[in-house]
Amino acid sequence: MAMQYPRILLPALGYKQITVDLSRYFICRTTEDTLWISQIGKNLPESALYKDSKELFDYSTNLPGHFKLKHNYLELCGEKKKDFRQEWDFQRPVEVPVYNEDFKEVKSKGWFFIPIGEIHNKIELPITKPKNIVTTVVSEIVHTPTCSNFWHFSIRWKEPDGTYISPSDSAWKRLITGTMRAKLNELATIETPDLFILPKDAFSNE
Amino acid sequence: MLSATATAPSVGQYYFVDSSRMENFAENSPLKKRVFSDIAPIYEMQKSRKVDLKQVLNLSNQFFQELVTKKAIVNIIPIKALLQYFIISARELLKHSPSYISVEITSAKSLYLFAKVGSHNIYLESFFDEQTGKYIETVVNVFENKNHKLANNGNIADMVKEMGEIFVPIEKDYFDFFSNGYAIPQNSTSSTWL
Repeated sequence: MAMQYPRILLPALGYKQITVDLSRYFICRTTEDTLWISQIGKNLPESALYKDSKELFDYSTNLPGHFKLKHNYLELCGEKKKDFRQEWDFQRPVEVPVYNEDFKEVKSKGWFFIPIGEIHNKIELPITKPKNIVTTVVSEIVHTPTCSNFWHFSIRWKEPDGTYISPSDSAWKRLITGTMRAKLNELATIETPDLFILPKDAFSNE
Repeated sequence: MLSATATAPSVGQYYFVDSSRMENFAENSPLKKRVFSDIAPIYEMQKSRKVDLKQVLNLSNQFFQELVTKKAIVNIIPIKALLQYFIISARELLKHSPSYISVEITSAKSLYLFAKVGSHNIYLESFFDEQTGKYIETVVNVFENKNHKLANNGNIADMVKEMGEIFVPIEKDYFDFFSNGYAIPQNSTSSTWL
């Protein structure tokens, strides 16, 4: 029997950006495998944390709760993969991914948790801009729903003017890359924490 | 001034002196010889600092494995540069008698070393240019019981100095303790690397 894509993951009309205080919540990061588990508490290999260090500027995670841990096993595939991964605009209805065409289940995947309260607005790094202007970037956890996962969140780095920095801003990238990796290694845990279900009024206008 | 051309004993010298303990370096490939030759100063250090020889060998072997498995990156960053910064970083971390230490060559074109020293976790990552492979700078991060104590970037000499300053009071206590009845020469902490 064909597996149905979990409806709870799909954005629906009436849903809104999640901006409530999530400091007691955790985010979880899906990993390709579980080979790194014995390294938790020591040093996680790069392959457990990301495929490419550029991801550390826009680090993809999920908010468990409505997003169940078994949803970490779902992997998008096929021609429409890019479309399903696109950020949702809070307006248009989304297509439902079809099993074996648009998504599959990969049971070898793993995941780890990161406490939001330890990352969101918690890491401040000084950066020097042209003309020797020193400013500070701050780590932020932002709700970035995609067309196939409303519970998608990203860790990004915000400048004082509200813009997020990109990996092409090479003068700063090394400090951010090194610090972010270190911080993830410090905070990553595999023991399932208390997972809270976000109340409906935090994500829906209805 | 940093230098990676310290007075390393010849490869053969250590093969003969400790041949029974050098299983990981048994093969005589030119690369292994070179790695081992450049790592010899770390081994030299352990004789005066009571660094665990097994730990030094494991770390060296890990580094060698990284050189072999991360070929695409090693093709960009000269092995000589990787060796130089590996030696400097490893020596500085081993000085603090870590209970765990590891090394990785990363997709960010960096040489990443991690060490656990008591309640501290130290991350020392040296970055190289993605096109030319030339050394750019080092990023240091230190955590104590998950609390972020230090995050900075700059040249490796300044970064290891900043890192070392965190441990000075700890090591002072250690020496004060042992100087009350246990003679450990304080000058044994000296390094010729910086």
